[in-house]
Amino acid sequence: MKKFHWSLVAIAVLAVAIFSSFTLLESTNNSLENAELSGATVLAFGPDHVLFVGDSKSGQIHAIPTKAEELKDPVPYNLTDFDRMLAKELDMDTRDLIINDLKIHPLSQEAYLAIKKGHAPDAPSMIAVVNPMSGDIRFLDVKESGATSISVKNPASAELKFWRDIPASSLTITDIDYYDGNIYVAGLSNSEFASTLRKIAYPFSEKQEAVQSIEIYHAVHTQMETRAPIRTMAIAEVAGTPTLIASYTCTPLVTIPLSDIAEGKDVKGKTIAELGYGNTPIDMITYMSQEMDGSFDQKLLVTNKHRSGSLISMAAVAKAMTEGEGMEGMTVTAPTGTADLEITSSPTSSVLHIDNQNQMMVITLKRNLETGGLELVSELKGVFLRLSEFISEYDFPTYRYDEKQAFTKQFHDMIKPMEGYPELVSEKEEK
Amino acid sequence: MIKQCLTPWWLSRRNISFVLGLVLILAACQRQESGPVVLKVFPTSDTLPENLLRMYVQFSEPMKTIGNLEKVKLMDERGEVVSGAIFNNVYELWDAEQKQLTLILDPARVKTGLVANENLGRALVVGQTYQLLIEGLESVQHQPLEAPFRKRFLVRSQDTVPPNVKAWQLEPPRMDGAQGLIMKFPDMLDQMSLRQRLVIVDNSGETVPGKIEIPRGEREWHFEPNQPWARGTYFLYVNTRLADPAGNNLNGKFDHPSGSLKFDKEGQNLRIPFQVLN
Repeated sequence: MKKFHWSLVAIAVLAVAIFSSFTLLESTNNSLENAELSGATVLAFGPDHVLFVGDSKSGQIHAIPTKAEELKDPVPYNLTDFDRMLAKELDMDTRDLIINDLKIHPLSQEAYLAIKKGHAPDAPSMIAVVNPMSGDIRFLDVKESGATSISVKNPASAELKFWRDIPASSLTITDIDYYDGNIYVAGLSNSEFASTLRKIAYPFSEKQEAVQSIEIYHAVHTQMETRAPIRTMAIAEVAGTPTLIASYTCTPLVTIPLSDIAEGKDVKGKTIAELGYGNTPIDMITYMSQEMDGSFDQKLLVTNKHRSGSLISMAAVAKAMTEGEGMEGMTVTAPTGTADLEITSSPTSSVLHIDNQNQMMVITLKRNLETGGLELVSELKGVFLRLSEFISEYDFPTYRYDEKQAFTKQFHDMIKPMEGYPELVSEKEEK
Repeated sequence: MIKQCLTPWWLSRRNISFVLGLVLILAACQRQESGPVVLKVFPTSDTLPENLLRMYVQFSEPMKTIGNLEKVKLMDERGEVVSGAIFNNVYELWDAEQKQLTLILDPARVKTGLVANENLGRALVVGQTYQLLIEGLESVQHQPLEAPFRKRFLVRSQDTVPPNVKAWQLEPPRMDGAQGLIMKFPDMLDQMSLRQRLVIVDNSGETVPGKIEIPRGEREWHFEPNQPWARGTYFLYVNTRLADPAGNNLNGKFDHPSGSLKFDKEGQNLRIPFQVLN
């Protein structure tokens, strides 16, 4: 009797295991399938609001047309519980959710996020789209969108037909920027420390150019050159010349005229500054800033993984680019490593990704250092912090701004509703 | 009857295969639950140059690819962490299977003339021993490493001699199959470079597929073709991007004076002919 009993239990356990594995398989088969990509590492918007998605997993870049309604008002994002919202929408655990990049749709101000569902090598990726008006999340339909794709050639296979791609070798696409009919693609190889900058014509055709090498000078006295991969970049007109401003893995900030970037060319980049050591650049944006005296100045902001951001006037970048000694670049190695370039810091050390949202604001994906959660929130350009992250005397209901603080009060009255706290705007009366 | 009483029920002939199967299934489940382990760290040598640029850590299972670089530490002789030694990149460099992580020693400290190098010097000091400590990393199933892994090494003076094919020794294969092709190098080379940047091509220009082994502390490259060698001429193609662990490649030093590269263009190919005889 006893033996019968144990066999039955064992069979029941096996049956339950088999049944539950079938149920798991079934639950992954849902309507989100049309949104799945094999990978999504980097995002960039291009002409007619096409979204470029760099997929390191397949070595491809997809161009996905998007549809959006124009939003003109500066509507802020205040999603302080964003990772949990997104995980709930996908019915998964936040610890299995990976967010690789964030870009703002230029027309609708919707946030586009490259996400990966799970840590496994074959876990699918998706593009989540967040609307600032409703806070709703949807997922971009990739299959029905009329997307086009191109493979990013390995420089090795371009050199000689039989240089094989070995399975252990991979190229991570780290940045994409569009300018005047071309996308510029930077990547990091896991097996070589070399430049991997490509220029790919869009709409996609056979045309794809890879520079042979980019050497950057990094110290004038010894005239040392080096091979180094670009980590993040921005394209802007500098002194009237379309220029790639690149931040390297070894921290120098380098300018390269776009016209130099062509097939097989050996490009010489010009080092205009060092952004400080022990530092990894994350994102780079340019924006027009209104100064205290009312004048306008274009700024370059580089956010860093372990430091405050670096804020530089584009006028200073132009000066450093045009007035340096030929290709030698930096002429002074200042203790801060900034040469002649004035760099101010911005409090963006918890920012994982940043993009221009509208004329007034940037959007940031940042880690809340107390909860560990991810926030999708807007910040004012130039300020780069949220008042609600700090408790100050201004928050007390009894606090009264004196006359000298008229400007501060005006600023606080604007920023508090923007961060979702209209009730904290103090009354008009002043002492 | 007596025999039946003494033998446990599960040893009866009818049940034995079922019970054994169940034990095997349970053992397999148990095995899956144990954490991943570090299989190997390249370079495998325990003496490494002061200007070391890259290392590779190989794991037994696919690993999570974010948040790991904070958990990989370089410790000095006193057991203190050498801060900023390992380049904490935004994107971690994993292979497609997520079993190999590439570590880059902060290039700003390796290169001469950069502020980090001038202010902090190189992370590694000649004559001292260090250990690379890998702990707390998790598999894609959230399983932590079974145990911390330590690689101890002594630091020797910097390696500023680019690899040079003229110093390599080629031992051609024998047709009787007793030996594959062996190439010997005077100093260690980068294991990924050795897998990727050396190719055997036959007389008609076709790539010869085969198995590569990299023994003796990455100082040798062994090649065994899938099909037996034929008598005649073969070529070993070497791409000049082939590098050593300090980032020096066949075209010149990692950190080189302007205009000192051997070839104008990076990635040129060198062709070394060899004969397969009886």
